[in-house]
Amino acid sequence: MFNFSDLLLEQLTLELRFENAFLYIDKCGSILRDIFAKYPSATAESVAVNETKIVLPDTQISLAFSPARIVLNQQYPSGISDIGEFGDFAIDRICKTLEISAYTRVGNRFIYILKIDDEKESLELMKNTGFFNIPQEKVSQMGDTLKSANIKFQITRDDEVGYGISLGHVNRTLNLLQLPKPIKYDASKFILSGLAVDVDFYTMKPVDSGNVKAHELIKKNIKDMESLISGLLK
Amino acid sequence: MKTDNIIADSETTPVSQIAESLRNIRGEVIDQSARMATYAPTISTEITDFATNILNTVSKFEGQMMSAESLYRPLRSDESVPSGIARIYKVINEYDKYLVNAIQIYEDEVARETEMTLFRRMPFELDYINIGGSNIGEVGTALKVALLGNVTKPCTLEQIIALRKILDFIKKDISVRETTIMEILSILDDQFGLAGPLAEVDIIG
Repeated sequence: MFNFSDLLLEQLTLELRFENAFLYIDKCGSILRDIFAKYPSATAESVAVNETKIVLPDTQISLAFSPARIVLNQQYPSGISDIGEFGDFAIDRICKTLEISAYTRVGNRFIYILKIDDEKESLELMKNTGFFNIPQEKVSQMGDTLKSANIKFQITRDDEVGYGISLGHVNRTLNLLQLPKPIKYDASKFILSGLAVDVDFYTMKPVDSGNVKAHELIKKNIKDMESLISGLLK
Repeated sequence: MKTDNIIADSETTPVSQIAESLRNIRGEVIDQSARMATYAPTISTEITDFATNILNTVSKFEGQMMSAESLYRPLRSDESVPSGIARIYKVINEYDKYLVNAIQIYEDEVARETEMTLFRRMPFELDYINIGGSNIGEVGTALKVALLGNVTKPCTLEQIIALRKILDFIKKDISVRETTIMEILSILDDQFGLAGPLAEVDIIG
């Protein structure tokens, strides 16, 4: 029986795309200075002509910005207040400094994982969606076990917003050697085998930048996730 | 091949510029029509109709932009507590109707002032909606000063149109950035005067 509270939110991302914010080249340092003044623990992971990335190590929040987009990300968020408050502040500074008045696309992505050791269980849950049904006789024409099944689709609403949904069983290993150093990584939350549920909320029309408040948007979308995913998998 | 790409890119007007232009057109139409209606009161209805037609055309182009209402609309329509932004949008839409009514029945002073009395509650409703990092509270305060400072005088057509213009600004920029709030304060100061009792003080004398 599926229960939404069993899902672990592994990654939360807010991506804002825009056009021709070439003031980035002139004013990147000014943005960094403003952000570091308010968030002294922030560290600049990379500062380059094409993209700048900063990280808040305590909360595992990262922010990358360039002349074409802003990407705000948090791994294993315990709540949305940290990313929401940081996002509101940083995005406002970037927009103001780079004089961005509209976004061409706003995307808010949630990657959840449900711990399931047996792939067959994942398959049963995916069948609950009604989007997936391969009769056993069709499987038996080729073999006996169905593996690596995935569901991927998009649903749009009024040609204004859309949801990109991807479901699939994952088996993975934690490779600490690939992670950047110095490292402080809590591996206790890492799930080796489970059903990954990836939902991407996105806009299909340009949005005035003043209407995008990171905290409000994430709060609204995370509420929606519960009804959307529960509706799919129950 | 590369040259073609450069030409194609330079010919594309960024969405942000289009949005900005539409906002400016809208502001100018509202401003100029209000001014003309004051100069030529005998044809104010025709001027208002003309301006409304232009604004409808502008809205068609603005339809290419997504409204805050669509962005924050929850999946479940029975959502009991909508987000702060959705609530602001709802309040603004609701109170905008009083302004539209006041303009339509402008000549009937009693009915018009009744509509305006109903509208005056709006900034107080905004007090109960809090969204982090937004200057909506400052707009509410400025509106209170403007409206309450003029509560004993009947509203002019220009003032009502100015209020609609302000609501329009908020709809397009719910977080009310500094540039927007400066424009709003400027409009309110022009139409209502924000100095309050200090307006009567002769600083030089």
